[in-house]
Amino acid sequence: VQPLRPAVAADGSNTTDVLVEMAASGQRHAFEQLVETRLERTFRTACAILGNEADARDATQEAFIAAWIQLPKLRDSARFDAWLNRVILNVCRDALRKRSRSREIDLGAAEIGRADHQAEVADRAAFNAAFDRLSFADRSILVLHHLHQASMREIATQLGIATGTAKSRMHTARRALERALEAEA
Amino acid sequence: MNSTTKQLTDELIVRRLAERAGHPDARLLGDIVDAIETMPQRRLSLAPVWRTAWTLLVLALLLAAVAAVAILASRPPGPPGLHVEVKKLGSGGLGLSPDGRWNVPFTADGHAVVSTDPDAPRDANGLPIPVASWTGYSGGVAWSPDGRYVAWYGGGDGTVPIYDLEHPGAAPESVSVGKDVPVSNFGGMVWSPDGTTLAFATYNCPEGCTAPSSAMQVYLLGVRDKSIRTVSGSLPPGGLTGFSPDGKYLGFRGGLIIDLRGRTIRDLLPGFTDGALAETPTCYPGPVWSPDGSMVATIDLPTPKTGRLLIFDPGVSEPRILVADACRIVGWSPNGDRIVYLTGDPTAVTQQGDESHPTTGPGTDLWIVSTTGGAPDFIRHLDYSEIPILRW
Repeated sequence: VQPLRPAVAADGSNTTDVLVEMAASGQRHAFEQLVETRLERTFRTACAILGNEADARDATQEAFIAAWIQLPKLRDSARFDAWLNRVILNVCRDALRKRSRSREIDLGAAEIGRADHQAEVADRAAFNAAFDRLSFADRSILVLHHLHQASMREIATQLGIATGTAKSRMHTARRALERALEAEA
Repeated sequence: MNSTTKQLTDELIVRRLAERAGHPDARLLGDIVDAIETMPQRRLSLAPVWRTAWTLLVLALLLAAVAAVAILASRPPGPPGLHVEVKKLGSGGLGLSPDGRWNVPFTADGHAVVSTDPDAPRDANGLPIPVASWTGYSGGVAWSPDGRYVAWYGGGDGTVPIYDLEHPGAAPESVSVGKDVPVSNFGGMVWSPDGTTLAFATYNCPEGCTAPSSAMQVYLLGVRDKSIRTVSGSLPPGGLTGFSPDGKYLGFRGGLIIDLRGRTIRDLLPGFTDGALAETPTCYPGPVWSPDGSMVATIDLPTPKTGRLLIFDPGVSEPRILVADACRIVGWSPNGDRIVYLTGDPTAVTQQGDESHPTTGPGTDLWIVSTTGGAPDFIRHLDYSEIPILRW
C-alpha cells in the first residue's frame, strides 16, 4: 500500500492543490486526475470496511460523485485527501446502515479451495466473519491504521477527533476484533 | 495476550485486511469518469467567495452590534453626565420625594404617603399601603431638602403636619397656623435649603373668597420654634416656586423674586402674571435658581401652555432667551451650564404634581439646553404620570 503523498510541481506549487482548485472551479479533467490517483486507496477502504467488492464499487463511485458535487464547499484545498477519506467513510457508514436493514446471505462459506489451503481459507473466512461483526467505527479505524498505515495523529485528523481519543478507539477496536475472532473460532 | 501474539495479530490483521480490500477493476475509473461527464457542467463556483464575503459581513454586523450594546450599556440614559430615572406613578399625586422613594398620591378622601418601591407591602387591591394618610382639604406638599420630612398645609384648622419618613407610620409633628393666617386658597409650600423654614402663601381673604380677586400673602414658618412671620401681604395671584440656594430669596410665579432680608420684590417679567392670563396656566414657570445662585431661570407665559425659557444674570438687565417653547423647568445641572425642561401640553393631566416633581401628561417631552446657547437636545418622551428624576 502506497500512502498518498501530494506531488510538488516544478515551480514549487503543490499539484494536488492546483488540481483541487481547478476541479472546484468546474474543470472535469482536473477532477479525473484526482480520481485516478486516489481510486485504488478509496476502493480498498470501502472494500475492507464493507467486505465485498460489489458494495465497495458502488460506494467508491458514489463517494467520487459526491466529492465532485461538494468540492466547491471545500475551504482548504490542502485538506482534500483527509476530506475525501471522510466522504468515503460516510458513504460506507450509510451503506452499512442500509445493509443492516436488509437480509444478507453470506456466500463466503461456499468457497472451495485446494486441500492444502483449506486452513488458510478457513482463517480468512473467520477473519472476514469476525470483521463483519464489528461496528462501523471499529472497522474504519482498523482499516485506516492497518490497511493504510495511518498514524494515530493522521487518523485523529481524518476522523476529526483528538489523538488520545483515536488511541482509545483503536484499543477498543482491537479488543472487539479479538472477541469477534474468538466467537468465530 | 503476550507481545508475540500481539505482533502476530497485527501482521494477521494487516494481511487479512489487504486480502479483504481487493483491488478495483479496470472499469471502475471509466464508470466514475462517465458518471461525472454525464452530470451537468458546473459553472465556475463563486460559492466560496460569497460565503467568505457573507461570513465577513455577518461578523462585522455582529461586532458592530456588540460594540453598540457595550457603548449603550456603559452610557447612562440621557445626555452625557446625566442619568434620567423615570418613576411611573399610576395614581399621580401631589409630590415625589427628592430621592424618588416616596410619593404623595391622592386618595378617595384626601391623600397619603406611600413608598414607590415595587416590593413595598400592598393591600388587597394591589395598592401600596400608606405610611401616612390625610383626610380632607390640603395643599402644598413640601419635602425637606434631604427627603426625610414631608409637610403640607392642612387647611380647615390650619394644621401643618410634618412626617418623619425615617420612622414611617409614626404620628406627625403638627404645627397649627390656623389662628394667624387665612385658611383657604392655598398657594404652595416650599422648604428652605437649610431645612429650618417652611414658606407658604395663601390668599389674604376670608374663607370662600375667590382668586384672583384678592392679593396673596407669604408666610415663613419656623420648623423648630414653630414661629410664624408674614413676609408680604400684597402679591398677585400665583404661588411659591422655591428658595434661592442661600435661602435669602423666594421665587414666586410670574417671575417675582422676594428678598427676604429687605422684603422687597423684584419683577423679572413685568406684565406677566398668572392672573393676567385668560385661563389658569398649566405650565410651571419658575423662577428656579441655578445651584450656585448666580442665575435664575424662568418661563414667561404669553399663553397658558408654553412660553420662552429665559435666564437672568442679576448683573445684566436683559435676559437670555434659550428656547421658545418651554412649559416647565425641571432642573439645572450642578455646574449651571445646562437646564432640563419639559415641553408639550400637559392639559390632560388630571392630577398635578408639585413644583419640582411634576406629574406629566400625554405629549410631554424632556429636553436639555445649554445656558450658553445652541439647539436643545431631546432626552426622551414621558408618558402620563411618569416623573423624571435627574441624577447628574
